[in-house]
Amino acid sequence: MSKKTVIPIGPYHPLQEEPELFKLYCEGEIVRDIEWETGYNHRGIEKINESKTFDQVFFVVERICGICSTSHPFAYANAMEEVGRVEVPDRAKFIRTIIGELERIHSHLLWLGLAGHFLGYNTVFMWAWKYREMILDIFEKTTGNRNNYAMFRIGGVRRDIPNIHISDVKKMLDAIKPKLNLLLGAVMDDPVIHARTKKVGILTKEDIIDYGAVGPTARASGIAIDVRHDDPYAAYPLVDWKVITSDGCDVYAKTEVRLLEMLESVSIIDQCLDKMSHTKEGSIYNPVKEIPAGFGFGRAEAPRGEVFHFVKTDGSNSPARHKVRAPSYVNIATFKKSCIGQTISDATIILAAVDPCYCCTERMAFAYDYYSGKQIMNGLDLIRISQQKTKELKMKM
Amino acid sequence: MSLGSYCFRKSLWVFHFGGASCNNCDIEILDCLTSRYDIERFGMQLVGTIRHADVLLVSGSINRKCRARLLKVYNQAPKPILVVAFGACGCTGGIFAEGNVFGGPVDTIIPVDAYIPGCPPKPEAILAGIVKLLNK
Amino acid sequence: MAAVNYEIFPDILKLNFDSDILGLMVLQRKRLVVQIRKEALLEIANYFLDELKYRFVIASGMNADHGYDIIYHFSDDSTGYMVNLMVNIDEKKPEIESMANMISAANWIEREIHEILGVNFINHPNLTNLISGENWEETEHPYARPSRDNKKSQRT
Ligand code: SF4
Repeated sequence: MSKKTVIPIGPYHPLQEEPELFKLYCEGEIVRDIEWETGYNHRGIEKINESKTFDQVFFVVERICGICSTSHPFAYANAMEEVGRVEVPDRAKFIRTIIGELERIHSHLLWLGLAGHFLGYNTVFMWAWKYREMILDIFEKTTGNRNNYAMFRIGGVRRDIPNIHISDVKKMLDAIKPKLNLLLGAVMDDPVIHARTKKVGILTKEDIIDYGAVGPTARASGIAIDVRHDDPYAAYPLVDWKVITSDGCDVYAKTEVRLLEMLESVSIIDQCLDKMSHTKEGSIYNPVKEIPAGFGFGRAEAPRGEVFHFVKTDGSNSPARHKVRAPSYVNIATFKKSCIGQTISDATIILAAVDPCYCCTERMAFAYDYYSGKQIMNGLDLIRISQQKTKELKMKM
Repeated sequence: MSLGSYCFRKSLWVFHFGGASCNNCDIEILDCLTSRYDIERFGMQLVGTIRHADVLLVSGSINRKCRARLLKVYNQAPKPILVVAFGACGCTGGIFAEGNVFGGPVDTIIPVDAYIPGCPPKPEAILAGIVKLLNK
Repeated sequence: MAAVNYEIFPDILKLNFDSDILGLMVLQRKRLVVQIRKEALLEIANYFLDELKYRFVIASGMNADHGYDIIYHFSDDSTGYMVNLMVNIDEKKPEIESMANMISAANWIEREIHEILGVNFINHPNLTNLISGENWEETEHPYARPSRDNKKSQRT
């Protein structure tokens, strides 16, 4: 047997914002095994939550992950409302949905940018992030913050979106639509992107079921799971929308699903804004006096898939146990299936395709194993190889 | 002119160390690089290794596992180096300071030259922080 | 899979696994908590995964009055129904059969519960550290609180 090469990616390297360590075991060009080491991002959030009151927990779960800073509070609110049997006013439901969908667009744009970068398309990176700023502007207008919106509370939302702002938000939203279509066209028409992403990193239906993968990762393999549809919450049953799936199973399918989902989100927000203007301004939450002892199972569809929060209460004012399952937790494990047998130059984009989020996964961040591996190439080299491949393809075409 | 001020007169190259962060700080740093804020026009650039860097940007709270790594990264850095603690987490540990795996705020591990508070700091705040650092 | 009638679902479950079910709790909005004997876990889990095609969501481990409770969450994605299998594990001998060989999704979470509570998963393919690393010692289990019974026995 030929000598296996170990390639560590990370833990600290400029393009993964978060620390994580993958060890790719390679034979020549081909990846034979993958291992991953975590613990760099562990913050003990579940433990911290046990010492916070129900209301304070919102601010902690918001900071589990910066990109999903609505999805976690969303799931937590769903869980708490289940325990406390709290009804949420309609207007609050619409506001929740709007913030949740805005987050989906900004997260997918962020992903698209990074994926573009990995493939060597820095223009995509700059453009996607430029248009993402427009979403952040809407966030600033509606919630007051660019990130960490602090909008949720048990029984409703903290801040209202006044009716006079609705037309402004709509205008901003309209400005984004052509940009999204432009990105969609750019990705769908590019033969090089097709060549780089089609039939790469295949995840079959069986793999998805075995690993329990969720979100766009599962939907790109033809499995239509979407919590918004399966276990409806907030205003999703009140508006018209469809679950986007694709049968491609590869990286391209995941890209396609995300791009189309963004357009779907725009339409959801549009409808919510319309319907919201007919509800009474200011009635945005129902007061909650106390939370009885019991179990709460809250779910929400984050941009990456299903977020699951389990809360056990004991009648006091803080959770007795709070369990968080972020989508990346199950999605990242699928690397074992998708990466093996692929070339190293494709590994980066396969890893990126799942849109892994390590801070979510550990909730509670890689290693300098430079000395243990035999031959070393770092993550930067890896991205360079990936970008090189695109360049060569471009020349050939 | 001292060596320090001579070194930091021109383009600053930044190495970003993400501790156990919530990711928002990291994203805002990347955001600074992209078209709207574009810190590259000031010659600032994120670099892939600490050995090329003038500035070590530390974001996120530091847990026990990161702690040794941060020290190692700092020791590998060419001196003089400017250390910036970024975000509430970098400055004090922020919301995660009470966690059971918290490894201490950045300034108890390595000397810090500047703090940029905020959760996360806005890109404007990042620019302002760097300018202050340069004029120090 | 034929659509399951959730009105009578708890009764069907009781019929099928009578001796293994210790308690049933129907919560609002399509949530069911089933307390089962820990020896029957694999069999019942298999029934949900293979026959009813449920998706394994996650497991949560927590302290209980006596030992630890582990709740295995399963979800039926066509209806949004969630079934939660709850097992109690004795503190003196914290062991349970691993589900990781049946479904890969259980692999990581069992490693995690092993780290935070010190529960031993029998026949787990790779029960090594996932998150603790240098964050805490292997012998330390940060989420485990000694229960009342145990505290007493420590004092005496
Ligand atoms: S300072 Fe705030 S935004 Fe930055 S990493 Fe910490 S919690 Fe996240």
